[in-house]
Amino acid sequence: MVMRKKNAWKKNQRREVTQTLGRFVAILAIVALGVGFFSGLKVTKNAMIDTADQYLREYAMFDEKVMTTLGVDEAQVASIAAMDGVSVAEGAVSMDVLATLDSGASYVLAAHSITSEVNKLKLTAGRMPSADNECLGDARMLPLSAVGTKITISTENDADTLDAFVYDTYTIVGLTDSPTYLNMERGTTSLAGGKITAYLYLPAGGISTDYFTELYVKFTDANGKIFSDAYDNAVAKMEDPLKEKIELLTDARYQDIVTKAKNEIADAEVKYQDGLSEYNQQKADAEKKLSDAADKLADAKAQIVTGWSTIHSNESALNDAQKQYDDGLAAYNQGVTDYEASKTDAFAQLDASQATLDEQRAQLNAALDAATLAGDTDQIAYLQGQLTTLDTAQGQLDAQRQTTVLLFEGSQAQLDATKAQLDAAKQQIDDGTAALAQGKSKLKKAEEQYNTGYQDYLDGKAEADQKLADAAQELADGRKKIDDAQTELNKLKTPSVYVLNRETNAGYVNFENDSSIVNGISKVFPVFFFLVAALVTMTTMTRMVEEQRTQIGTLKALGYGGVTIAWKYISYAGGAALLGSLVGFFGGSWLFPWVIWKAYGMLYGFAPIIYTLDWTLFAVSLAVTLFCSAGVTFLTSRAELSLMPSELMRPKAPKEGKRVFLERIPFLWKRLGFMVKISLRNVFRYTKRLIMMVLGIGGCTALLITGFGIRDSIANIAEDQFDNIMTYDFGVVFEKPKDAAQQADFVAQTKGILSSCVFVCTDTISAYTNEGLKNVNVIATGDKNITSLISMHINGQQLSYPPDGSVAISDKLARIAGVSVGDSIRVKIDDTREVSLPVSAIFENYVYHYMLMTPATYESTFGTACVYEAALANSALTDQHVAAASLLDEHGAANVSVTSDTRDRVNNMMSSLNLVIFVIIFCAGALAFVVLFNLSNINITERVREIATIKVLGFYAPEVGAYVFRENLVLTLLGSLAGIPLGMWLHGFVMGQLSFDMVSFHVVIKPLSYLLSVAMTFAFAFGVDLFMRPRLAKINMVESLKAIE
Amino acid sequence: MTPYVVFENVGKTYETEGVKVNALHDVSFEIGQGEVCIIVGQSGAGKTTLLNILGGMDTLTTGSVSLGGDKISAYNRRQLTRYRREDVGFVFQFYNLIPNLTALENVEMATELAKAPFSAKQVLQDVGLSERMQNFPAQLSGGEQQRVAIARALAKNPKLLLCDEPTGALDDTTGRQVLKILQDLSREKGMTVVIITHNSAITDMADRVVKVKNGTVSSVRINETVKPIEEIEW
Repeated sequence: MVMRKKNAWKKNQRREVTQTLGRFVAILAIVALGVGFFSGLKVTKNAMIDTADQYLREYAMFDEKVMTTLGVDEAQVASIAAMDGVSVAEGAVSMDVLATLDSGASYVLAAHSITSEVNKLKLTAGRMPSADNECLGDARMLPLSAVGTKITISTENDADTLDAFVYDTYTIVGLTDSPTYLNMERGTTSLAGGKITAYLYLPAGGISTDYFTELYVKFTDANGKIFSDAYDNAVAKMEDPLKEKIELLTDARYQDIVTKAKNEIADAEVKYQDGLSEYNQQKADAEKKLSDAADKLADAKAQIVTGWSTIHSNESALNDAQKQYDDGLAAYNQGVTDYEASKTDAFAQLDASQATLDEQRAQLNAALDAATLAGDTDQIAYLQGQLTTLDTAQGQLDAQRQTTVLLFEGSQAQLDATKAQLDAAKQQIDDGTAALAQGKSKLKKAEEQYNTGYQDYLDGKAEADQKLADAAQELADGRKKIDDAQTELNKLKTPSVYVLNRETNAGYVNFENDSSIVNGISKVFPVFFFLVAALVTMTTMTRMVEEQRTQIGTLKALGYGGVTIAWKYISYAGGAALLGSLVGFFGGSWLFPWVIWKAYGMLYGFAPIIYTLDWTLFAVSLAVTLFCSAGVTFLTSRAELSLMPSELMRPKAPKEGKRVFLERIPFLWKRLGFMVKISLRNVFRYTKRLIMMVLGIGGCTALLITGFGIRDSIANIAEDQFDNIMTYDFGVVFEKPKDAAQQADFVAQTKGILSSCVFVCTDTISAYTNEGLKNVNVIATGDKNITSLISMHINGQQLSYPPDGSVAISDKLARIAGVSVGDSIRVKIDDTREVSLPVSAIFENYVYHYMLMTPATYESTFGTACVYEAALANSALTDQHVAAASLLDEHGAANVSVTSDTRDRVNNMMSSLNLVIFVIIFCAGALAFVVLFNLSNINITERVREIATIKVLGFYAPEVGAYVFRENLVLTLLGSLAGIPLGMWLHGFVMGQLSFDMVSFHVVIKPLSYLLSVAMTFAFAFGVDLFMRPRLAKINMVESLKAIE
Repeated sequence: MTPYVVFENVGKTYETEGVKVNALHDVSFEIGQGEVCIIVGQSGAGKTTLLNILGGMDTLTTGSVSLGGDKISAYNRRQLTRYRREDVGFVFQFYNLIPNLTALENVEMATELAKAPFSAKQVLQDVGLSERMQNFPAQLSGGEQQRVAIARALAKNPKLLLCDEPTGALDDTTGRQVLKILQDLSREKGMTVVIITHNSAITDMADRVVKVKNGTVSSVRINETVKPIEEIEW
């Protein structure tokens, strides 16, 4: 028998598709959905990884980062570069630095030197630096407006850091991404506050140190894709040799350093000793000279002193002499005066006496005369006697006078002698005075000379002292230096070498985690869709085969083989599935990575997503869908096709009417409207369809609930966190820590701005969790008011601040660390110290991990007392940024973070998830639509006769519509009800998978979301109704009721 | 006899894919109220088309049809639906019962629609199916199903009962049963019954026989004496 081309047959097949396009498209659509979800979700991880892989490859992320405790020098770099298997070795300098930006706020920045062959930079704005005082800023952390502004290195940095930075200010000339910072993690630091805000890249000339702080290495063979075994193995292979080589080099360098140091110390010692002896010598000389001079001076001084004392004694002698003279003169004068006086007196007396005598004489004479005259002889004798007496008296008087004269002459002579003495004395005195004056002036001169000499001596001594002191100081310094150097040298430990591969880079590791998130979801969603796809196909094709029973019978009677006939249906379903798979595969491979990458946009914006087509996925999904469609068709049609032609050509006995279980409750059943009864019966008549509808509609509702639920859980994270937990408006960091007095001062000064202020001691530690080491923010304070700024509660219960010795931790941290209240959490304080802290409370928290404690706990844990460098505060002012600026400018704050900014940032991050939710809703709608459409289609084509009958019976068009679609409503209701628990479970599952590092979600579905989901499901159902109504109108009563002829 | 149903120059042309089919042309006849009218003709003669137009399920191309003075052919869609709902009872060759409803519920479908229906139970009893009311069509024999169909058509209390080959799928005995019911309806209840058939043997039971040939009425015969079913042999 010649096989004809079967043109008619092929036409039949083709027409089948075009005439029942709705059915064909339904299968296509549901398959596309399933395959889209499956391949889309599964390929997203690969797409993300490919994107990152290409980016990291293009920008040459390091394979190994080598650090040693001694740093790395040029020679070592060259040595490594020459190593076998190493393609690139480049040294770089990294340093954490406190700097002030244009805005006035201070931040801790991670400064890196720009390298040329490794860790290349991708500019997002501006240009590369052309001068050493230019730099590139962090594209993800700094706004575009930062380009052109200056950064000032804060003077608060330590001496080494300040030294390293060549300039005080650097101009930001561009913004850049960096392959070593894939996400927003910038790392922690020991500098103020503990958190690094952004990175900075400077040209090599902008930072200068004696050696590189790290060495970046790339291996020639490490070409595998990131995260792949090939890559990991290639790196592992080279890691040990590299480490060994570095250790060797570093050891050598260490030895070098030690030897050099030792030699230098020895040289220095020698120099020192020389210096010391010279010093001693010079000191001795100087001392001698000085002491000689001192002696001389002392002598001079002694002489002077003696001179002075001589002069003084002379002077006093002279004074005495003078006094004596004066006395003498006075006495003489007195004497003279007395002499004169007494002479006068005496002579006066004498004269008086003489006068008396004379008088007497006169008298006598007179008397004598008289007497004589009178011849009184007695009288005369008497008188003569008297005269004789008088003569005697006279004689006495003369003698007296003689004596007196002699006396007075003697006195006079005495006086004169005295006078002469006095004069002589005076002369002596005068001489003496002159001599004294001379002597004085001589002495004075000598004194001046001495003083000058003494001053010179003092100066000379001072100078010598100073010089000696300086020298001594120098020597002491030198000694100290040498001693210190020696101590340092003794302290110098053998160097440690750290060879860190990409697994230590936070951005790299987190990327792998984040790209895997979708993987978890991809295990559930597609299964569901494939199941629905299978059911849809099954019901559709069963219906199709049933419908064409007679045709099949006829064809069989004509002589077409069962296989040929079966192939028509298998190829129909298979064709739809193939096309659907293609559409879903391409659509999904594009849509899902794009949506999810956009959702990650805030976190990873470094490159546009690369779309990958994973043909293995396509093969798998195609196989599954073909089985679901063609395979199912084959199975269902087998029954039909095995029948004899005649049987096929007879109409199939219609399926029996079934009583619904509800009928057994006559109470309820009686109350139901007639039409409702019909609908209920119809609903439960076909189990497969019932299941399909419930699954489809339930799935739709579940998807909607999940979508809205995701939004509920995520959207409110900002509110939950910042309205209910961390309720403070500002986080203030000060340049210097404040003690209690300064704190009170600050509070008083900022009364007008801040309504409350609590000083806290902050730190960052790492906690051991089942996801590795995670950073935890530590807050320690003794201020009771902290509870008004940080609310600790869980499950509606308010918790109290931890007592001394315990800590309170955030709930996600507790969860991933596997601890509950009463357990202890193990944490790393720094590289060397680990400690276990008992947990007294676990509180609800959504962003970052926190640990709260009292100052006492802090001290016993960290070994140092609390240092209050930060404060949390609330402000009643409406403009928070004005308040923040005021704190920065006027109150000594180094940095103020405004919580509302953080809230905005978190909200922005979350808003990008809206896109994801939109996609989910769209798919839910598509699912509902396809399933409902399919079912309605089947129902209508199956019950054309029934529908025509009721039209004949006189049902108005709306009544006809209601008759058919009332069932759909009942099914939609059943489906939505089933969908609610399914949705709750699915939502919980997805939220469990959506684990971002720093964020935990409040898994909640708002009541409104349930309502919306069910309402939307019904809306979709109504949409299908409206879409199908024209079909009903088109049913021709006459045609449909024609007998099967 | 007052003409109840009047066909006046009725013509019907189908056009599908450019092909014109002349199903009816120049059809004019009358049916009196309370008559049993049998429309007879060979397959493809156009009798079903005729019935469909009368039943308000199809439109005519030319002419007019009126029932009790009302021009049915001028009705719009909604009016036609109302016409079918209240004025016409239809009985099909293949029963066309709703398989998911019991016999009683099938009849109740119709009673829920009509303005002044009979009691569904009563009507079923009238057709002798009081025992079978709670059975689904699949559980009924062909004759029983047809009787349910008749009950359904009747329960509406229509002006006109149209039957398209009511006995076509039934055996002899059952067919007679059904026809008897139809005849009794006309006689006892005064129902106007129109029956389409290709079996000319039963034309004796009718009051009027309309012969349709090649899309038009070839003859109209009025039987003076109507034979009861029992006496007719075919």
